[in-house]
Amino acid sequence: MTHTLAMHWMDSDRPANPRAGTPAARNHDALDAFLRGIERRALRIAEFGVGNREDALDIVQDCMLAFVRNYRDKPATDWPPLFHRVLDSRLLDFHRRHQVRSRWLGWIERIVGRDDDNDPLANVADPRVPLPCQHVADGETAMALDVALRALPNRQRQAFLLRIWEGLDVADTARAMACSEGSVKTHLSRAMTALRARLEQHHG
Amino acid sequence: MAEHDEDTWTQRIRQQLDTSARDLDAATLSRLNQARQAALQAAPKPQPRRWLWQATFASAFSLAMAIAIWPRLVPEQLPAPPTGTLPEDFTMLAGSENLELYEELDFYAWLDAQPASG
Repeated sequence: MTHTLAMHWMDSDRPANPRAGTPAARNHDALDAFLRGIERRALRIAEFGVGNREDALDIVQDCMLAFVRNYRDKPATDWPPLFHRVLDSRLLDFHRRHQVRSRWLGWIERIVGRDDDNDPLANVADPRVPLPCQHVADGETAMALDVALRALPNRQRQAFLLRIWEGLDVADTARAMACSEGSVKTHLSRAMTALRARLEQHHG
Repeated sequence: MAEHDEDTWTQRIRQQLDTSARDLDAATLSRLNQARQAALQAAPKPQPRRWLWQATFASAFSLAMAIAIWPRLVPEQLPAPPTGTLPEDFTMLAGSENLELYEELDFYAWLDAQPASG
């Protein structure tokens, strides 16, 4: 297994633990170090998936709880794909709930009518979402990458982030995404093509 | 895109993503820290090992059996014999004349109850 990025936690500094030495304390320290090492990337991955930080933080917290409860006794080398399996399923749940909510809201709006049909503010662009021309103008390639990643279909984005950023191999990515290795390769290939097309002017 | 260019491209993207994760604001990092601590504290405490349960059960069972069986093994304590009378009693009981005395005990009891005369 090649968890180049995901295994940084192995070498991280940790505060002294008075129970150090016992198996339970070692497991606690190892879990703490692992979660400390992965939590920021997990938050960013969740943020790409749901589009806002607040929901992403809730998802990561829920993910940590479920991971510790269910997989703390698994070998540490299995933790990265298992953690991402939990995170992926939480993101999937979020999208399913969001779709159901949108479907019902749309149905209610069709019945009662929308109040803001004639609201001029509804047609004003959200200033927080930069337009493509702004990307070029301010040269913010990081922002362009954010937008490009958020624009990807969920499965393509997950395959790209787990393979390219997390450094999981194809087998572990397939395990984390609960799909076949062939699907991972297909999703990754499509994601790379779409990202290249969107980011060409920023990355050359 | 050539393989080298693709490696360079993905490397650049990785660096940007690393930077975005590294530069998270303090409030977000604090929330992440709280979430991690909550997850670690919510983990169930390690359960005692099975052999420990078995040893505890075996000890309790042995103790219960000992309490139940002990009175049957140890005879009840008898009252101590009156000190100083055992040899005399034994002599009396062993003598044949004394046995005759006990056989005519009723007669002697009647005789004792008669008023003294003459």
